[in-house]
Amino acid sequence: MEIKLKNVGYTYHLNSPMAFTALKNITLTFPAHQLTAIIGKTGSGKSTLIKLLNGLEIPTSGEVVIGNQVIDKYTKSKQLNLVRKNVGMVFQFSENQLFSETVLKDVMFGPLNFGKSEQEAVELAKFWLAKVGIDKDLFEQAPFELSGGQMRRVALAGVLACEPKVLVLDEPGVGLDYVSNQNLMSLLKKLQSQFGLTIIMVTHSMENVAEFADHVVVMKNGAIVRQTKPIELFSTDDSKVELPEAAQFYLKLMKNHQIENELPINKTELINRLLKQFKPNGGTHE
Amino acid sequence: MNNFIFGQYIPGKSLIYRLNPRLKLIASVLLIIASFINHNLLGFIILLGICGVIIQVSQVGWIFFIKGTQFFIYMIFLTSILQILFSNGGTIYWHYGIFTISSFGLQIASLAFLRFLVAIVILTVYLMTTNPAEIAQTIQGICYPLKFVGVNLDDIGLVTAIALRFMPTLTEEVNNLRNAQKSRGVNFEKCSIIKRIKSNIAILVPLFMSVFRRAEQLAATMILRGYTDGKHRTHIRQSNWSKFDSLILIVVLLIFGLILSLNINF
Repeated sequence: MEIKLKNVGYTYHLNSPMAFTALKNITLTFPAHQLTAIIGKTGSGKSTLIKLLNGLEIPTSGEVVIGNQVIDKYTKSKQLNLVRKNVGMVFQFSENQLFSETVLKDVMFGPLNFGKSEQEAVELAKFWLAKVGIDKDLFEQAPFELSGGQMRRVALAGVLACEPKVLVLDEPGVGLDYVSNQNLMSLLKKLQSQFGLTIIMVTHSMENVAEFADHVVVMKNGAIVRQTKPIELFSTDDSKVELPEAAQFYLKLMKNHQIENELPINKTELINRLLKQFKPNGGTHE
Repeated sequence: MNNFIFGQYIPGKSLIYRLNPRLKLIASVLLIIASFINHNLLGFIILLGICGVIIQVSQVGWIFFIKGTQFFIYMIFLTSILQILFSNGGTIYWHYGIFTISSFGLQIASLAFLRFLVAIVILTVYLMTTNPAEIAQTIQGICYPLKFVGVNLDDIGLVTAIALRFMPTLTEEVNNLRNAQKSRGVNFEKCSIIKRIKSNIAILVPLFMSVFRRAEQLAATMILRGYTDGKHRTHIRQSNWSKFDSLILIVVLLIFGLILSLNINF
């Protein structure tokens, strides 16, 4: 499912001394079945932008088109539940939203709210818990007894069990160790191809962008400054974004060695490039 | 709930912000007492006029103020309606089953409505324009007599300061949790009361978890930075009383006297 923003603006506390314009005249398309990453400094409007994507906030000007539903400032709150069914949202530190007595019940919460029967909800919960890699033995445990990474995956299953067509995530990997983050990101990538999910993800990790994103949107002061593919974002010099570690490493290497000057942006590319360049017998150097 | 501003400090620079916090509390209490002893229409016109002036001078913006307090105003309005329907006495205008509309009920209800309206406006302005640290200091000052019965004033001050400090943080936390559960299909607005209570459990349980976690972390960091209880503490912000503060106090006392005299039957 595609999401389009047309001239969207958003101002917090309109008509008050705290009025603050977070988004200015944004026109943007999130293509269907792709993983789009949104990057930008703190306060650039990323979090506000994603709240518009499932009707948690209503744009103060312009319109958001989700599939064939239009949300603008005249939209009634009644119509938003359908939007929320189609667009699942996983918040920062999503493990904090768990509240039920058992893991299974917590995942069933969403489907039940969206009108599934008890039986259907149990099946959906079991299916998605298995997909995110939660063991059957844990289903009847209290969610608070799990580890941080497990809790986050349960929270993810809780959103996926509502069967959204679009999944929006706010910094899914924040606070996780490297391996958990890699696992989570590969899981998202797998879900994207397996179920045709459209994924939109806010992130601060350039490594995640370089390795997993199909598209990248760069935000600054409530506006979109660039909208491109990760490889183009990181390989052009004028981009003022921080480079992924792999690219930074390669740049340092380029200073002292005569090697190809096209930047590898992620770890796999870097390794392949280095293997090619520094062959033990007869490489370009040494 | 997004526009729920009661008790939230909004940084600003208008005249009211610069008043002495103790004066502000005394003035607020005096005006609220005045509105509660008042039975007189003219008295309410004066008090509401003062409320208007205060909102205007505070420069928080009328639309914002009304949006923020409308929940409370709606609540008192509802209570007044109940009072009208269930009070009996005086001239009876309408009667059906247990419901009666009488002159007595109308009188009581309108009095209650106006009194609470004045109180809420004044309290909201006080909380909006007074820094939480100053409120804590003021409360500590008021509790001063308790010192002689062995209460530790510094502890009271600290507890109040922490409680006020965490109000906006917890409000934000509630909003985040609401958004998370809304995304899982909870409809907080349009459903029966029982369902609404049930959906609020989905917020309250994680909220309590996080409050306990925060409290533990805060205690740990305080200990790490050398906090020991039972020691006397000084304040970083010393409030001073200016001539203008005295002037305002005199004006408020005059208003109080005026309202009082309006309600004394000679």
